[in-house]
Amino acid sequence: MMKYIRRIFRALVLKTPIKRLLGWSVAYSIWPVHMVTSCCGVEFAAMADPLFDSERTGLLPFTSPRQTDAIILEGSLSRKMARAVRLVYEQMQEPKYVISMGACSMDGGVFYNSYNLIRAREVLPVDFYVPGCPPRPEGVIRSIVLLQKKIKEGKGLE
Amino acid sequence: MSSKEKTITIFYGPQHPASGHMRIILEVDGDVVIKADPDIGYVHRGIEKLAEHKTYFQVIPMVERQCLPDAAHHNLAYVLALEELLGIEAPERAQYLRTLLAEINRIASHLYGMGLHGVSIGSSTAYMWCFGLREYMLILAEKLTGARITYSYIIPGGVRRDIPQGFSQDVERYLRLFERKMRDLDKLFISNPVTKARLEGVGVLPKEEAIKLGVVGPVLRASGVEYDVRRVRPYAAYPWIDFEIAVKKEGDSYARLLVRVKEIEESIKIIRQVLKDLPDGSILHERYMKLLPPRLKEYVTNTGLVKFPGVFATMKVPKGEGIGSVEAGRGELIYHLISNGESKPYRLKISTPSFRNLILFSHLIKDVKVADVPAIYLSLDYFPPEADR
Amino acid sequence: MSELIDKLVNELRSKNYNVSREKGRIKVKVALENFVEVVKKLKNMGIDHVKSLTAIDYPSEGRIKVNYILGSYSTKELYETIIIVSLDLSRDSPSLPSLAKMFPSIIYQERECYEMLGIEFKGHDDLRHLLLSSEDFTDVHPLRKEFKIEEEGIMA
Repeated sequence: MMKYIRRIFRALVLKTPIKRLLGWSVAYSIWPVHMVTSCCGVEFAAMADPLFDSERTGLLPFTSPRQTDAIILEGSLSRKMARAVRLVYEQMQEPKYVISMGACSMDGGVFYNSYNLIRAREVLPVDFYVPGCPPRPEGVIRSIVLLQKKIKEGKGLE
Repeated sequence: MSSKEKTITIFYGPQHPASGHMRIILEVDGDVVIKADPDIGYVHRGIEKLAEHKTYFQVIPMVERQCLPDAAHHNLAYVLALEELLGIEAPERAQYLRTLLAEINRIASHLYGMGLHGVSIGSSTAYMWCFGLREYMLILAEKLTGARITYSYIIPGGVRRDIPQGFSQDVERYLRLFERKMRDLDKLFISNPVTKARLEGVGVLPKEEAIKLGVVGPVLRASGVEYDVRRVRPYAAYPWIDFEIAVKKEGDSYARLLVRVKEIEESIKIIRQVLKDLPDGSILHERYMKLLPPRLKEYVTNTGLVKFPGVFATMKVPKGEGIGSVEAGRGELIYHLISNGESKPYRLKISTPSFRNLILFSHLIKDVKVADVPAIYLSLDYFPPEADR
Repeated sequence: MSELIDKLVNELRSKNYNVSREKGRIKVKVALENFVEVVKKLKNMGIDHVKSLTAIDYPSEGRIKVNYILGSYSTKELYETIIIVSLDLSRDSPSLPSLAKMFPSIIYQERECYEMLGIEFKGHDDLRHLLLSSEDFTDVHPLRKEFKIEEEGIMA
């Protein structure tokens, strides 16, 4: 019985204009978790200040992982921190997105070949990479705008 | 009859609105904290091991990324240690320009600490105002060096760029606007009765304990010890500038906040003196200027942008050891560089102020309520990537 | 240099310790047997905290060199001096007496030195890993010279 209800619901919602309404409501209020992984966190904090206002895109860092949508990884992931990030990611509810900031989470950045660093894509499925060391706050806001465009088209909502 | 276990262990962990990238393991009985144990190492990247595999010049950007709000001081301390090994001293105009960048960075670093302290107590207006004022300083630094946070401005032998035209008038305009806004911030956050009620008498560190535990920076000066590396072992242009040292006697969290505010005012005085007394001359040492071909030498003297000689890529440094000590925004910073006669360092040891203040976690957070933990911990201005290197 | 520093240097030299003075710093080179006694004598003269603890690995000569950098906050004439005490240990199983009871400022520095280079400090109650995770790095000491990192060559 539940299987049929679920199938009808999926056919109604995901193939009609209700999907666009759902996409619109998720895209304009992406709330990331309060988790700062490394030194690019300084530019993440500067993104919220009055000059580069990130709240106009709907972003508000929130405390509990059960009620948030996104996780923004700043900078290098060490082995201890990767375990903590994986634990927080598994506690979040669907739909969830990952943005990875900085050159250090791509391949190591300035600390290439270090014995304690892990690449971000081995731990989480990443949606967007932002280059720079550290990236300017306008760059991170641009990646949020691109993520909003991706959500409004309906990808990632299943 | 054995007593029942009454205490609960809480992980004040990396995912927390007021914690930063580290974890404190608290043992709590009701609402009172009995013991606190710091668990660090979440941002350890192995800088000391990586420095043995890069050339001397390639280490400069890597070392700056330890403490991003305060990058100019790490840059300066490493270059002072390297210049001691090479046996040269930068010309006078370069020393004054190094001091200018260091003081601009000290103001930005103190405002970062004050902003985070304010938001964890509950005043997000303080966060917005402090970070907004910090942007003024970053705009000035961008006019001088070309980058917002990671400058790489100080090189062995001098600095990388001269001041642009009209810089002194710009600085004067920004400083006047900054002082007006600081007076408003004072009425809003610093002399606010709510802030005083939350911070006075919390986390008291008496003078004998501060000396025995070996703490550094504004934490030490708020407990009554008058120790500042800029007075005790002067470097750069500090022997020729006069300024006061901020000292308080009470030793609680409110005194640490007031020491930082006074240091911001003294830094503004130093910036004005530097721009008034700036001497003429070249910005790079003779030994490296004469290695450039004459056409490039003319370019450097006309435009003020330095072109590096080719010897920087494979510089072989004579055998010995060099120590560079500097007063960073958070305290005393020591770089110990040992060389073997080759083109890569043999051992680099960094002793950062945040690592030396780590002992205060287990010492100060005892018999306090759980709600006081962010008020104490963020008044120490602990920055985890600097302590973990 | 003030008279207090001259008095310190002369007293150390009178007991035939190897003291040298260059660029405003005082360097004392000791052997393992008289290490604790030199530190106690320095503490009586007013030195009260440790600024940094370094250890350097020389595999070709078979020794590890340990440097203690000390300073003083309580005596005003000694603010500007830096005193460096250095000693040599053998590389096979290095161990040193711990100074944690005399100088509480050295507790975390000894823990870091233990996990990076494998030097054991006898008398320290709480010697465990500080910066590295204990699952991946038990018995692996990264700052020794045999722990290799991959290097790519510079294409000239």
